[in-house]
Amino acid sequence: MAERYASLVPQCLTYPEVPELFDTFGDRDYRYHIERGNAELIPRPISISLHVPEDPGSNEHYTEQLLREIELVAPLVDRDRDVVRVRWTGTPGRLGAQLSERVLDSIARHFHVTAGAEVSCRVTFGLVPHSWESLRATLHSACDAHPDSIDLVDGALLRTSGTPVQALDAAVRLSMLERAASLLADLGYAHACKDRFVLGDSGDAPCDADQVGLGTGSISCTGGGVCHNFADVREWQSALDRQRLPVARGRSLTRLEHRRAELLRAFLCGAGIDVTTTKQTLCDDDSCLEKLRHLENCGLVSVDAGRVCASSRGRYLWRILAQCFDPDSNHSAHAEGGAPDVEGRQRGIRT
Amino acid sequence: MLKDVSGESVLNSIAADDGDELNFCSTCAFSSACLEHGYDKSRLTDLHVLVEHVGPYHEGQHIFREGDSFNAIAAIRAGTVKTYVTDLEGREQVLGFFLPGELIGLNAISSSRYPCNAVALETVLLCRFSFPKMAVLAARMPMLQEQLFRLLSQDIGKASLLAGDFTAEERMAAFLLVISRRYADRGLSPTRFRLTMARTDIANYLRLAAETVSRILKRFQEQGLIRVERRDIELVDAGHLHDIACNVLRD
Repeated sequence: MAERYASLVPQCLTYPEVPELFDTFGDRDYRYHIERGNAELIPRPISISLHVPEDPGSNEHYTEQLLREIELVAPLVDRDRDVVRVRWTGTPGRLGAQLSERVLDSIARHFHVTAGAEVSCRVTFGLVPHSWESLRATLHSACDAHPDSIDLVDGALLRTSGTPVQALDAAVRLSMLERAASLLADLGYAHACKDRFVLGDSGDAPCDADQVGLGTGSISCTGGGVCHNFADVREWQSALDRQRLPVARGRSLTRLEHRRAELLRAFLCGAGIDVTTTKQTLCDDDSCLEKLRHLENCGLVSVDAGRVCASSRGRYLWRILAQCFDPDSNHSAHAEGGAPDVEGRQRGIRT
Repeated sequence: MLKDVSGESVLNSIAADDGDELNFCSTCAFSSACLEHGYDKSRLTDLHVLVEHVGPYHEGQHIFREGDSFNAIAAIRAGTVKTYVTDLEGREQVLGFFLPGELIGLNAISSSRYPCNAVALETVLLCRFSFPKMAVLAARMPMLQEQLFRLLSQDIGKASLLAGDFTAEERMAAFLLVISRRYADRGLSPTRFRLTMARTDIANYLRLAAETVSRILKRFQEQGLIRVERRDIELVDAGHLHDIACNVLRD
């Protein structure tokens, strides 16, 4: 298991992995994709991701800029698209209660936030100098604020824009993830979908929401496009000063990537997938299903009557499951008889 | 995921095969009628010389605008076209959607000017026919004339479809079934297709609010009548949809 975990490579938070983002993708493209999201027959709800970097400069100024970004993005999103989730990432504690409230108030004014919308936070682990003790303390402190949900993310598996990160050993990270999942269960947070653990039975926010990212380095994913905001505070501010969406890079997904994403979402969010459909949609051959069957021995999936279902453990170790569907991995694994090809996957990383 | 038994996507994104001197494109509005009536290849050459393949027009690109002078009708070889007018307050009024194999510009014959705008909703390829020359040819080829009348009649029928005082559910169900029938007429899947138009365009066309379109589609989905995935539609219970739409469709 540790070996499989060690073979995972940084991805963007959305899956399938987007192998290449282009810096020619900008303000106009992001607007187009928001519009495409609005144009869907039954538009998806919105999940807002708010990022506060470790060093935002002046907290007040960063907050002001966040408010400008909200005012720039919100009018582009149709008002009947409910915001079902607001998630803080990075170091939101830096802003303090008063500034955070201003941001949330502005979101409530400019978007259509449902009464039962989740407020959520992301806890990142796995990087030096994290330890199990520090993660445990962070989780306790996060749970003290009673967020509706917590995203537990291995920081070594997140794309970073430029800043090198030093990750802990994969076996240590895997152990931390398993212990953290167990601790969250003890604290009343049940695993729901992908990285998300929800408090009690409050977690009925759909997994298929489009994501609108606000703040430096945040990721947006809507209408068949994925994009990243500028990670650099000055570049992000400069775009906002010019009344432009602060998009650094992005990409439109292909039809096939769309189909893969839909099927994976169903699988990773617990619905299970039909073997025949999976073969038709995701693999040219049986390789991805073979790899999933190998994971049955580890207790991550069950294969029964033509359906593959993720086990409860498999669902929070979802990146190992998702890796089975990676095209590069499929290709090399086919030649090598099942082992994921770390080299091949790393070649795919461009950002 | 909307797929057929072969595993291939059955969404009706069509690119017609190119016709040549003696063969029509597969989506041609005239080919089946002409061939059924036994016009031989040399006769068809007369029609072929009128044909001009144009495009591609990319998403959002206008094919013609209101007031442009009219001298040709165009058959869609691939893609979807929306026609609309803009009222004095600048509000857009959607008049219709045209699928592969259908003709645009028929409503310009009387005034020799296009009475509306036509815009590509996705990449569009057209087959343009000089109308004056086609009119002359139709006088010599009764079948061509008959087909032209039939297409004109269909065009008028489309416009009057939603003129009555129907409920939102009736309009939506009728819209889905009409699109389904139009795809079926071209030999494409009547149960699984892509609606390339934005929901705001559908709403505008059906004279409903965009929110209402989504709400009704959601309700249809919950009732097991359809499945919706982004812009892809599967008609699961066309019979029930027909029951809802019978006042509009009257068949």
